[in-house]
Amino acid sequence: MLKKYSRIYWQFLRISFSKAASFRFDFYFRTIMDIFYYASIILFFDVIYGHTATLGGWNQSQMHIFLASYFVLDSLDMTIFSTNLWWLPLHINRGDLDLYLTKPINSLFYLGLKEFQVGSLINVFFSYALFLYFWLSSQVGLTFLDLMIHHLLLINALFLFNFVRIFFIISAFWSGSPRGIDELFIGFTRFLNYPEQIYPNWLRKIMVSIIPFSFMISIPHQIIFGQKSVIWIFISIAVTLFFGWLATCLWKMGLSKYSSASS
Amino acid sequence: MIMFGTFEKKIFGIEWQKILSYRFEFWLNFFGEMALCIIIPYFLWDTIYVSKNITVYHGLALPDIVSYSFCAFYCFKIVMGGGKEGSISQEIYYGTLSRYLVYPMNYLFMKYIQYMATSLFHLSKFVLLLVLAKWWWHLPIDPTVEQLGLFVLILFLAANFVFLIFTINECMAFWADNVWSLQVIFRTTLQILGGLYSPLLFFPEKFQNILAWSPISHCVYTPVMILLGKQGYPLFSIFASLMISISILFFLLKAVWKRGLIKFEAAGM
Repeated sequence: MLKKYSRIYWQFLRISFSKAASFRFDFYFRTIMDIFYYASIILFFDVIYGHTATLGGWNQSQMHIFLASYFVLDSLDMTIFSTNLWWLPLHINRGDLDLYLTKPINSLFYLGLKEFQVGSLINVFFSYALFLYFWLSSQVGLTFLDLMIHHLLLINALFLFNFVRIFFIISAFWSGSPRGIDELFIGFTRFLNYPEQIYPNWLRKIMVSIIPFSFMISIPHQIIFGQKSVIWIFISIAVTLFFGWLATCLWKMGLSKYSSASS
Repeated sequence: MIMFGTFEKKIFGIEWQKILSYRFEFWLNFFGEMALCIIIPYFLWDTIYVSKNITVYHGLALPDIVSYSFCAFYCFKIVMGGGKEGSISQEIYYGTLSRYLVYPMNYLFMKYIQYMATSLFHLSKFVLLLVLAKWWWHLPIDPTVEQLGLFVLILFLAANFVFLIFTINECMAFWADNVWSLQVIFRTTLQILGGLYSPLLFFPEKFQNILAWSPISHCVYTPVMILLGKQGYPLFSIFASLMISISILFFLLKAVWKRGLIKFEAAGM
C-alpha cells in the first residue's frame, strides 16, 4: 500500500517538475513573491518591537525564530498542498470530480497532492536557512533535541493546517459555492502570525479545541522555549490525528452529497 | 462614445448578484471577517499598550488603533475592488479574450466597471459594518460630512490607481507565462506600505516622509486617518501623488494593451 502510494506520488513529482520547466517566469516570480511576503512580515514585527521589548512574553529574537518557523510551514504548504486545496472547491462546484473518484486510489490523496509547486520549493530552502540563521544567532540557548522536536511538530502542523482547511473547503458540497468558506479560513490564518499568549483565556481555549491554530506554531515554540511541558508534543500529535480522522469522515459525507456535471 | 447607461448598470447588477449568490458563505464571511479584524488587532495592541504601561501612543489610544485596524481592513478591500488574480490573464492564456474583442465595446472599460461595482459593494458593506461596530463595540469613529466626502473621494482615486496597476500586471500575461505572483507582490506591498497592518505613524520618520509622496500610502492609511479625524498627510501631496500616478499609469496601460493585442494569439471561438 505504502509502496503503491509512493510510486504514485513520485509520478506527481515528475509531472510537476516537467511543468515547472515550461513555466519559467512563474518559477522565478514565485520565489521573489514569497521573499517579499516574508520581508513584509518581518518589517511589520520589527516596527512593533521598535515600540515594545516583548510581545506575549517573547523578545525579538524569539519572535524571529517563531516567524521563520511560520515561513517554513507556509512554504511547505505552498509547495505540497495549497494549490491542490485551492482548486478542490472549484472541482466540487463544477461537478468534475468524476475523473478523480473513478481512479483506484484514495480520492483525497489524489486531489490533495497531485500538484507539487516546484517554484515554491526554493522558498522552503530559503525560509529554512532564515530559520537556522535566527536560531543560531539568538541567545535563547536551544539544543539539538529542541531542533528535532521543533521539526517533528512543524511536520505535524503542516498536516493539521490542511486538515482544518478541508473543513472550510468542504462546505462547497452542500452550498455549491466555488470557494466554500476558504476566505474565512484565510482570515483565521492571521492567528498563526502572533503568539497565543497575547489572547485571553477564552480565545486560547477555542484555539486549542475548535480551531486548533495554537498547535501549529505557538505551542511548539512554547515547548522548545521551555514554557510548556513535553506532554504537549503528544497532545499536538493526537489533535492532528483526530482532525485527520474528522476531515476524512467529512469528506466521505460530502462525497455522498456530490452530484456530477457530466454523464 | 461611452456613457454610463444600461450596459454599465447591468454589469453592476451582475457583479452584486455574483457576490450575493451564495448566501450562507456570504453571511458567515461577513460576520467572521468583522470579528477577526477587531479581535486580533485589539489583543495585539492591548498587549503592547499594557507592556509599555501607556494609554496613548503617537496620539492614538487603544480604541483609536482598533478603529484604525477595522477601517483599514475594509478600505483595503474597497481599493482592491474586483481585483481577482487571473480575471484578465486567464482570458489571454485561454484565448477567450477574442470573444470580447469582436463586440462593440471596450473590454478594459467593462473590466473597470466590474472592478468599481465590487468596490462600491465593499463600501456599502463597510458603511453597514461601521454602524454595527459603533453600536456593538463603541468604536470612536465620528466623522464630519466633509471628512466623509474626502474619505470617499480619496478612496475612489486610490481604487483607480490600484485598478490601473492591477490591470497592467494582468496584461503582462501577453508576454509572461504566469502573472499571479506579480499580483501577490503588488498586494503585499500595498498591505505593508499602505498601512493595512499598522498605521504608518509607527514607521521611522524618514520612511514616513518618503511615503507621503507615494500613492500607495494614500490607498489605506490616508483615508482611514481622515475618517478617524486624525492628522494625516497634507492634502496637496495626497492629491498630487494620486493624480499624477493615475495619469501616468493610464497612458502606460493604453500602450501595454495596444502592444499586447498585437502579440495576442486567439485559440478560436
